[in-house]
Amino acid sequence: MRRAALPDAMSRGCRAAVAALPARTGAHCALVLSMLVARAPSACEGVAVESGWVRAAPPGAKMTAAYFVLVNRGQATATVTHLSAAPPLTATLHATHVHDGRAHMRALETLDIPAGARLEAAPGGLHAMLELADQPLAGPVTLTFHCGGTTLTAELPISRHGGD
Amino acid sequence: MVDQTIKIPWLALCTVTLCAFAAGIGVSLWRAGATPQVEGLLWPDPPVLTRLALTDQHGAAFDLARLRGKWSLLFFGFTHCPDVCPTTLDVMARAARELATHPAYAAHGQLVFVSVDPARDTRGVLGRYVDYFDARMIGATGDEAELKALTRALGALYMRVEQAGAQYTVDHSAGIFFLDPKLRLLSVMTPPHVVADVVTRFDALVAFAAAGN
Repeated sequence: MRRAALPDAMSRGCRAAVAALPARTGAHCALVLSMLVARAPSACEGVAVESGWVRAAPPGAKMTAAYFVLVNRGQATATVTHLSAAPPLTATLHATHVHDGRAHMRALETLDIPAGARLEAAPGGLHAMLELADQPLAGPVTLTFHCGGTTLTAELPISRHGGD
Repeated sequence: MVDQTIKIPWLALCTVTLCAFAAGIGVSLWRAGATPQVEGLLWPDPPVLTRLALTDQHGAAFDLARLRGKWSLLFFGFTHCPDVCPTTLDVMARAARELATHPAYAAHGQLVFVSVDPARDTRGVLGRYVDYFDARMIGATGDEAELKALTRALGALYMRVEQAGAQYTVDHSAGIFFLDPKLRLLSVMTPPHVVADVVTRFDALVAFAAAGN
């Protein structure tokens, strides 16, 4: 069962309920939410990749990152459920958080882009982690965003530090 | 007679008070002069490194002697880190290129990347990785005891975090650590890092040390 787009207010309301109410109520709310979600498939329609780049990888590096700007010009929240990249690359959604001076990087299950929003994945924050499978990085990199049943594909140039 | 015996202690007391007041002002002014405004300065009690036993990418000892007399910009990380490590090392390398014309860096500056993932970051891996950013960047790592001793001394942290499929990542301090030629940690710059800010911080710390601190 995939998580997908919900009207914003509903999603926010349930999240607030999950946070505010006892665990059992929260779990119940989450269950209702996931049932609703299953009937509301997300789509990438209205979403565009405004820009993006992939950090050139040092020789022998196993990983690098792709950064991008997504804009949702549609009427509903779009939810990216997963990423893929042209083989042999593997792409997954990650976010780096710095807390008390320490960097934590964690995988994200999904990524919401509310209607009208512009979402920026940039160094030190949200990014697509690219696993290189022992192959040198050759560009441009084809990155595909999967939103429920639809996809959005972008060709991202390789750059040493972006903007060059 | 009575009046005089009273007046003399009062005069002495006033003199002593004035002297103390003047001395206080003098000390304040001296302290103000000796401590210029340096953002993020760890002063007056900077941590001092007293132990270091790592190995660099060439197999040479990376010990206190390699830091003594140098200005070192040090970062902790690991080569399987896709985002924050290459981002920071790239900023450090570009800052070093700007600092190449600044006498203190040109004569005594160095970049150090300490891997907190010695199991995967073997000498060869580390060497190729640091060379990419700056041909003179030092890549160093060591066993867990030495890495823990170093991070503890600098108030840094790292922690292995297991992930699905026998994979792991490493949470680690994300700051740039500025060590002076006397092995003192004078400052830690937290992210996000900007090349111009790294250059400014370096110059400010050098000026601070040159003022006799």
